[in-house]
Amino acid sequence: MAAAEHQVEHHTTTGIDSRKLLMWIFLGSECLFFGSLIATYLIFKGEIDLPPFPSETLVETAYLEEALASGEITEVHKHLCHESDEAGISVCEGIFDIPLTSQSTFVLLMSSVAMVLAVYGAQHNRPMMMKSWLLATMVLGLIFLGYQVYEFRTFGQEGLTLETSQFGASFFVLTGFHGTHVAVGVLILGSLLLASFRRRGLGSEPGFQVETAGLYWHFVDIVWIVIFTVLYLIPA
Amino acid sequence: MSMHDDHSVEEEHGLQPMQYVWIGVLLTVITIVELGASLWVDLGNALIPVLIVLSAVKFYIVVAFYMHLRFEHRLLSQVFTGSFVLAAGVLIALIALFWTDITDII
Repeated sequence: MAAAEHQVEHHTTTGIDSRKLLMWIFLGSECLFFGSLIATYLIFKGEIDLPPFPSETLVETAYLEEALASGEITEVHKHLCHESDEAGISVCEGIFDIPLTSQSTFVLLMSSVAMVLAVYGAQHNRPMMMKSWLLATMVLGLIFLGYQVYEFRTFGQEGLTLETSQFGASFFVLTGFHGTHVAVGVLILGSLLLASFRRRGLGSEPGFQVETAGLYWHFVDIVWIVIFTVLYLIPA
Repeated sequence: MSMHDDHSVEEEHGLQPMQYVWIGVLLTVITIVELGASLWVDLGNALIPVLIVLSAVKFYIVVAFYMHLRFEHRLLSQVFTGSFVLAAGVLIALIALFWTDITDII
């Protein structure tokens, strides 16, 4: 009875739980946040004319030599390029490893499957199912973060950092913020998992709590769906 | 509609675990198709529209079925769709604004 009264308190005249409405408004604001970051990335991606490039690009060799002499690029960047069959033109390798990023995309998609199964378990009073899939979602989220750390390290070794160019800055800010959202999601899921082992479990509304965490997690997934297409798959 | 009715509607619309798994399989297949279109098949000028459509399909599937927006109150759909359209508008406006400037400089 007490639990039922508690639930009634959160319903509005629209019939929607006010906490759920707040969550969707928050996710709407996040759309604007990531939309602006993606726009910034696209603007600066179109502006780069020196390596490192996201994908394979042809550049005049003389222009590269000039940039090397003036310090605009370093030997690390120059090593990404080699003379092509055509005289005076160099081919610069792209630094994006699309097969690798596809693997991390698959991992994040599977984490969404795990998350929705955890929500199902919580909503249908199946605590073991909920806990197992929450744990699976966390593990998959951590694997995704591992991929991202590896990618960032590799890019750093190939000469792309936050300071290299505006392209580098916008790339790391966008993917870094997304990674931060994944990390926050892992922490939220971890706290739910820990709380579920208490004697009271997740309280009177386990379904609601896990569902709300699930909304956040799926949102992080759909942002990655857009990032994967816009950053990695659409050629420069 | 009473609260009891609301609750019933919510329960009726929940998919079964195997259906969620099949949706996951579908998302994986679409990702493989995206990858194939981008790396292994020469689609020419059609590549970008194809990738955008496939990405939009994945986006819709996750929002509609995993986030249950398809089964939720219309107001929630409006809040999210409105925000998404606004974000897309900001994105297009920023690109149109700054790409013009870059062209001028070049």
